[in-house]
Amino acid sequence: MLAIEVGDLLEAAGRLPMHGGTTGGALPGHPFFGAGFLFVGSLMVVELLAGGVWSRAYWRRMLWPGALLMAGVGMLIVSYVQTDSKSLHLTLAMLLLLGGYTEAQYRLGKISRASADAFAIPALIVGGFVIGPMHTNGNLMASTLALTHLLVGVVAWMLAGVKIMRVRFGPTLALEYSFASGVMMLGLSLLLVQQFHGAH
Amino acid sequence: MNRQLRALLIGMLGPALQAAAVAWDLLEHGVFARGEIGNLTLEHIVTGPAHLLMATGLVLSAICIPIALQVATASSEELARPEDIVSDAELAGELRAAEAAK
Repeated sequence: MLAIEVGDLLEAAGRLPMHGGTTGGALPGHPFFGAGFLFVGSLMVVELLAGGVWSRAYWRRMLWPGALLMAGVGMLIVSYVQTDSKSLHLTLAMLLLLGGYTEAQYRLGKISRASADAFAIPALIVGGFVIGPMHTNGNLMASTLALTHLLVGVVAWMLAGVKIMRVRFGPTLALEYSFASGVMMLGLSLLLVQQFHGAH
Repeated sequence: MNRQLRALLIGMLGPALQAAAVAWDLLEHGVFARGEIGNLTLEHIVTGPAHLLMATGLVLSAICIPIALQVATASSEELARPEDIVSDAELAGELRAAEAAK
């Protein structure tokens, strides 16, 4: 009985048009990257709230670098499959992969926080330019789509600002919460990009 | 922050995201794009931002509720972070101690 209903449901879903005119066949990368960053940002907030309980499982400590590496691999696939903005996507992929590598090195105790931040801060600033002003492909204020892209870039710069404050004032819980919330905001801003267009 | 409040915040994070997603979806289909409700596509269902937000909240709830239970039953020592993060209050306390020592 249940199998028949599930089958009917799948059949009905299959009858829906696969491309509904919003993406024009392009990869819908923004929403998946957005959901991913929102998920990881939320878990970073949970990590701060849970304190030592979070570290009971080793894999949880490696979640942030692992997520960055996965995002980098995803961006590599996007830059390979998608026909436009290849250099921009490739740049983002390299930044994400190198960022994941340095964060993993820090969490494994092989490099200091300062060394990891020495890469993360410039990477966030460059990444903000790439996904913000450069990815809008035109006048920054021309459309809602351009503005939402700019918002993603601004959020990346804000994250760089939090990292700079961490270097300047030392690690505090307020800055750690700010960074985790900022990663959630990065995810939400990418979801907003998808809301205002559907392409890539 | 006491452990009950921490556990509550951890446990409510996923449902809060889901609530935001429902509000987003209702706004989209009920207010801003009412005419498109009859032309839903599989692509929209899978890649719609509100739907992905809902899915994120659901997965987050599944992961976080057990963690919230662990936090609720943990001791204060277990809740202290093992890393070198110090709270603002601790920093302020150290500053006061240093000034008092002068």
